[in-house]
Amino acid sequence: MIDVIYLEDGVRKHPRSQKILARFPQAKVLPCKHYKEVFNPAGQSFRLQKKKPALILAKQTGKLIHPIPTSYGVGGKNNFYFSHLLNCLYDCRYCFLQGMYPSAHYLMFVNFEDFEGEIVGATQASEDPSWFFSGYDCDSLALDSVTGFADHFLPFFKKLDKAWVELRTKSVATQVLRKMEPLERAVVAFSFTPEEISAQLEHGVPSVDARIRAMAQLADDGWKIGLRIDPLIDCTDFNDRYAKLFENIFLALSEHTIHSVSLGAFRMPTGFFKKMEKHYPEEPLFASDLESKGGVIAYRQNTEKRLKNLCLDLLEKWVSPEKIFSCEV
Amino acid sequence: MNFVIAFPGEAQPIIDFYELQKVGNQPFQNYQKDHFNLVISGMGRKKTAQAVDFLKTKNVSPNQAWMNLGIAGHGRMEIAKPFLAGKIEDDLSENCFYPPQIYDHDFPVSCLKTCSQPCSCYEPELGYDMEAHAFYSSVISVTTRELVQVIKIVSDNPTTSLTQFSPKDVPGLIEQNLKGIALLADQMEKISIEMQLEPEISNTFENVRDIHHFSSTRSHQLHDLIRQANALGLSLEEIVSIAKSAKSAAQAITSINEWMKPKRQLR
Repeated sequence: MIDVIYLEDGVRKHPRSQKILARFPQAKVLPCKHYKEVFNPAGQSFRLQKKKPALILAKQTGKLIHPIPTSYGVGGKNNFYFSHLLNCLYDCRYCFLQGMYPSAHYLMFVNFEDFEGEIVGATQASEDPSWFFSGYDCDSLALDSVTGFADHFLPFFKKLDKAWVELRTKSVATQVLRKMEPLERAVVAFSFTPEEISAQLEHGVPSVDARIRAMAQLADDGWKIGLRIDPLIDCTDFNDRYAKLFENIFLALSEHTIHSVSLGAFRMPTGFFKKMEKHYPEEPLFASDLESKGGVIAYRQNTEKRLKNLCLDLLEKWVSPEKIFSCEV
Repeated sequence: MNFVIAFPGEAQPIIDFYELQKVGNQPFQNYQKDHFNLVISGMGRKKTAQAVDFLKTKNVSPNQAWMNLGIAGHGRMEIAKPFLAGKIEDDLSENCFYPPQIYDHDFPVSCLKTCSQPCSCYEPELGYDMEAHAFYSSVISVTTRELVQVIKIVSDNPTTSLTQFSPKDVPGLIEQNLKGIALLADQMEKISIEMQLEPEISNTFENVRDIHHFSSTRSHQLHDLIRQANALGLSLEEIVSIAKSAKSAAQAITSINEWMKPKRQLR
């Protein structure tokens, strides 16, 4: 799975690096002074590297937690994201990572304890609960067998009284959660598009049915579930496809297990979009009826409104409105 | 596929294998057949960079595959063993390159240091040559880094020094590894072709541009529309037909846009 590991000099002896190196004894280990030497240079092809990404082990420095964009929350007042990993096992054509990063290598920051320090600091800075989103720059669970993220961070969050954590995923590798007691203040959020769209755009992602089954098992175990219907993709038979998706999801889940549902239409910073389009000029999604406005490329306003309203109408049947959140551009 | 190789002895097995024909002697010996190009650069950084520049002027299309091939010293590997450079250092520079490893191959991957002089001090996990860093540095302005690779065959190591090595042995070292080299070159070439824009798009673009006068901005708009129509699986012939019916470039753009608008939904 991993043929090459780039190892930053500063984390060569880090126990987490050593553990990962031991897991991939066949991998070629190439030393680097700083991960940016490998990850940042211009003139790399994200598309080509997706064929066989390498793993980079490094230390993250500077600010380790960041405020999330406004209107991306699910009810919390203080919202942050943090990224122990940049890039994803999957290859979703709508994903902003393709436009944001020059490299598709998995860049893992092994200094988990430094992240914890900042998370504790943020929770202490406010009387209100704080939310921490872990799946912005990666899938929270897809590479967990390599990173050990959930095993490390969930017990840590369990001890924090005022911290909520969201794991956002398309993975069905949920064993790591199933062997634990569900956390009171954790949400396991699954992203979905209808299966016809998933087949076209979500390369390497488990089927919609498999994800629904994994999600239902976690719900039965007592985990709070988030549904992320994001991005909404304009397509033929939009209403029928999303109706079928919601029906399949909500027949498998009891409403009380659902913490939140968020909706957001496909949108992308213009600079990212242009890079993605350059990587995949043959991609029909990028030829959709989109417009550029205020540095963001998105569906035209009336289209976005139509897609959201159709979904809100469909969801009304299954979930109470106070659990539904809309992600705006 | 562009090969940049320092010495004739290193190049000859490749020339024979791909049945390349000599097409020039100045400023560098240059061999060619179909989409394969080979240049014999001579030893060292400067000549390598010049040879790359020479080949660049002969091949203007972007994202071509480039390979530097030759013999090298190594601190641990046995004589005649090949390796693929995973990290390229330089004894005159702090700047390192990390050719992305995206191909299926049986070559060991090793760090490689480009030196100003032949090197007789060996570090265990390091190869030594005199060209790779300059090669990589010169090529990456015209192609994506994944399409630039360096293969070296070990000619000397701590137990068999370079002085014990006969230049007559060079072709044999390369020949032993031709199969692996060709397999890698084949993958690189396929990916290079995958990276080229579909010819139907360029042909349609040229056809439509012949019908009206398109300003620079409108040319970009037209190219985007044709590429998008192709992505959506629409008929590019229809675009030519719409352009022919239009009275101007502006009207052609508008009409193509209107024709495409209802077809822009994902299926």
